[in-house]
Amino acid sequence: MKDSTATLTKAQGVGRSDWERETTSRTGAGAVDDPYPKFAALRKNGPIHRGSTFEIFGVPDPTRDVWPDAHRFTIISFAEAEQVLRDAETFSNAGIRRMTEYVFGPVSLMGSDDPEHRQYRLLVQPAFARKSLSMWSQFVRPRLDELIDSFIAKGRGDIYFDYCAQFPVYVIGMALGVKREDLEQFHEWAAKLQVAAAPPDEARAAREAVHRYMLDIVNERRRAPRENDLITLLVQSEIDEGEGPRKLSDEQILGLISNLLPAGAGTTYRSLGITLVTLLERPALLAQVREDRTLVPVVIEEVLRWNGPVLVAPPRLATRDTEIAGVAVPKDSIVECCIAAANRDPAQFENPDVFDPFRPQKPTLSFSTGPHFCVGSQVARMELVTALNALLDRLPDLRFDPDQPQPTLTGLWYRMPTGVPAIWTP
Amino acid sequence: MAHNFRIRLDRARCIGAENCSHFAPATFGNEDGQVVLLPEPHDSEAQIRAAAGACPMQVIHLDPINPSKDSSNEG
Repeated sequence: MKDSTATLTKAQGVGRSDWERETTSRTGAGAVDDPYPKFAALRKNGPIHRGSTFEIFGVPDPTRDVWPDAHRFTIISFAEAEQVLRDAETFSNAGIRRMTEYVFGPVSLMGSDDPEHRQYRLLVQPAFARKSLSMWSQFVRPRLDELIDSFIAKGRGDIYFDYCAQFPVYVIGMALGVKREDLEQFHEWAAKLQVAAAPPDEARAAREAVHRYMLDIVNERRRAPRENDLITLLVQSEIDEGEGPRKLSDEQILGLISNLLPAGAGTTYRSLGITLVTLLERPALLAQVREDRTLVPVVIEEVLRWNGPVLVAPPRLATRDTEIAGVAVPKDSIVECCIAAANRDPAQFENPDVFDPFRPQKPTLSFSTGPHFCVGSQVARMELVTALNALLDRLPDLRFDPDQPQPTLTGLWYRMPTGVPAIWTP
Repeated sequence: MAHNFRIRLDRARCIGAENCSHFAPATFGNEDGQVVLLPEPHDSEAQIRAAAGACPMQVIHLDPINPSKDSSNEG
């Protein structure tokens, strides 16, 4: 943590607009820059620690009022995090339902357990399969080129805000059928639907706004189905809740959209921003990647391990008295698995603090694990690879702007760069 | 490629996340939303072990082949 953090105010998170700085500061942007030394120090005392992640870092906990009386634990080791995330019977997602009711409403992929969760999961997964990537990729490169066209002549700019932040919401919006002129507004709603990113009232208002907006599109697709279209897939899907298969209700479809929107809205662009800062800090590696594009996915995977966009998996609820690494965890405890700490566990990765894209490929927890493994991992990987390649193609001499302060990475639950001020030859 | 294990899939539990095909694209595919073994797998042992370890549902089992019982198995 930097000494200056004590003087930071709420409005000093990361973002170009007020609502964005507020949502990022709520989850620790500006208050915690480098969480990793703290994890390394905690590791000496074992894999599991008392308190929420926010409490451990001494940052106001936006989730505190959700479970005011629960015991809170945070796990920082790979093996124990993996064990908890895979054992969904002992460590339920039902606790998240309470935290996210105002975000997701009654349908919650993240806040439900199998078999209910599995039904919804299997229903939406085909839209995110490799075979369906064109449903998303058709919007990606055209959008990226359009963005680059808009700023390339200037020769300098902050490409975190003007590039990274300007495409994932656009892509998911286009896939959902949102009109171009409404995408800016849609971006704000999507950001506020991220767990704990906005106060409950604002998140609820954002969900209701999304529902009102999307209901027209849902009805339109029922009348006139489209090929290769996400909403058409949802309106044509059937679910069996014990009374035989039937079509999804409006409420279920809108609920699923509210679940999927925030996931696509923040993580991908923050990952791209972190990737760019990491590469611009390493000009020799950047040049190597530019010449050998097979390294693009390799670099991205290592960034996701070394400094991913999500520090913590959504908290789990202990359904019975249990034990993790010899520590008693009473029933109804809330357990946070710290993905970022697990991904730097020396028991899993050699020299874990070193950014090394050439390290042997090993499983990470970057997209979590267990039944709630990120549904959009293939889409996210495709978007990140396409966006980095587009920059390497069109701004080959991209480098940090020497007249601007070098950016830092910041944030606790959600990680991001403070910006990516860069210059290039137009 | 001959490996000293046989790949066994517990398809009923698969959620179609396709993380296996990220690690071992020449071994694992996807049909009807669930994992399948491709006809002629040719990823390295390290790739296949990474894929099995990265499977969120632990659907991929690598059963060791006992050479005294079955020396001809190609895994």
